[in-house]
Amino acid sequence: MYYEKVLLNTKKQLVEYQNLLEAAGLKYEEKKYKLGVYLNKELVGGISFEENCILQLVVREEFKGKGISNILISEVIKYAFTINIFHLFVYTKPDNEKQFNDLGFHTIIKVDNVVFLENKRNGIVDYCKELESKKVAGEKIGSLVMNLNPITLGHKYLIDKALERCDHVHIFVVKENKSVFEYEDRYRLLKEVVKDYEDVTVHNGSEYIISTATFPTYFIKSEECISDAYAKLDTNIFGKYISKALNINYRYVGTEPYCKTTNVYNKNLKEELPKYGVVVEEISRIEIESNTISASKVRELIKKGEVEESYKFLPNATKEFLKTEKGKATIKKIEGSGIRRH
Amino acid sequence: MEILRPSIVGSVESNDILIQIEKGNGIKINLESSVKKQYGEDIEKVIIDTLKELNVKNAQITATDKGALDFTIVARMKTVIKRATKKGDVA
Repeated sequence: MYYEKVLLNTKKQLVEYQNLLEAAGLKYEEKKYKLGVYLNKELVGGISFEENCILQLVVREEFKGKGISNILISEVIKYAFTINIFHLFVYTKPDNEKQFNDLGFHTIIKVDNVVFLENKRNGIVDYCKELESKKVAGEKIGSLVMNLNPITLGHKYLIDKALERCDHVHIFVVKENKSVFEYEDRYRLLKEVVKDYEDVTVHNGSEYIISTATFPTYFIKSEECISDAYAKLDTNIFGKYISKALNINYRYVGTEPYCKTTNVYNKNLKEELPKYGVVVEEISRIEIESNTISASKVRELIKKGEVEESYKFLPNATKEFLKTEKGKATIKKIEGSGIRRH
Repeated sequence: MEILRPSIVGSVESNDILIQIEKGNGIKINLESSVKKQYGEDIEKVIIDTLKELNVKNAQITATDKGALDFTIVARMKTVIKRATKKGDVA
């Protein structure tokens, strides 16, 4: 019996892969790299890879237990290594967990019908050790996770409010570099805004906190559920690992008037984090001239060419940044792009 | 020799072995084999001997064996070590 490994690119191949996934109750999502295994011209298994994430592993029911998933997984790992991606993540169904374990993957968390794994032996454990070195003593330890695309007075208000209620506040900046404002700028501007704050620690984001690269959308059908499963994984990782490393017992979020995804995420935080002893509190956003401040509103104004109009929502650090060469380049980028929520 | 980057060779076809190597403290081997009961210790010995021969003292090995013969394991080990220890930007 000879299994043929084939990159899935033609329409016919993709339809076959899609059917296979659907038969297994998974939704097909277009990913950059798709590999299939054929036996006698029939697709018997498939797998996808994008960014640093392995997903959509499926093997035809009658062919399970014949090592096909091993072939698929090992081929994907080899491919990832050739393009110099060594830290890999997996989203998969619990049935496949052992197969991944045997090939050197370690389970980070299991939520409902999704297992999330990584191939670094102590990946998340080491990350938490690093966090632990920044642990601060106190009764109420708060936390904020922010994208800051870009940082506005609304964010500053949120930080101030959290500080009023806590002995110390840890802020994590979303590391994903998919926002128009680059990670290093978002991080640096936050540092500047809080430079006189004694009770704030700014942390680098990581793959373990809201990384959209690893968004396991294909498990679910409707849009609302999509964010739900993702949110649930993310919030459970925060509860199980990150809040524990820093003794965080409060997490703050701003009320979200616009974005549905963020709303689902906030709802999930409230449901999941209390299980880990973390209280989630929502803070109402401030308004300026009866406008709720949000980073997406700022980007909208910039896109319309009304950069100065956006200043009233921005702290000095952001205003100054927009006047620099890099800031101007960022404005250009916004002007030339579609409006995105994040 | 020092492991500079993770590396992987081989396959999980019959009579082959898939070997991943990465940095580690001391030598650690995580072996999965269809013939582990009968030959697990022998396979580990071949792996350890090859590491010794090439003077690798710190490495973590994950191996998935599908009944590879000794010389296959040695060849795979030598290649994976070569790739993982080669200076410069080689995958």
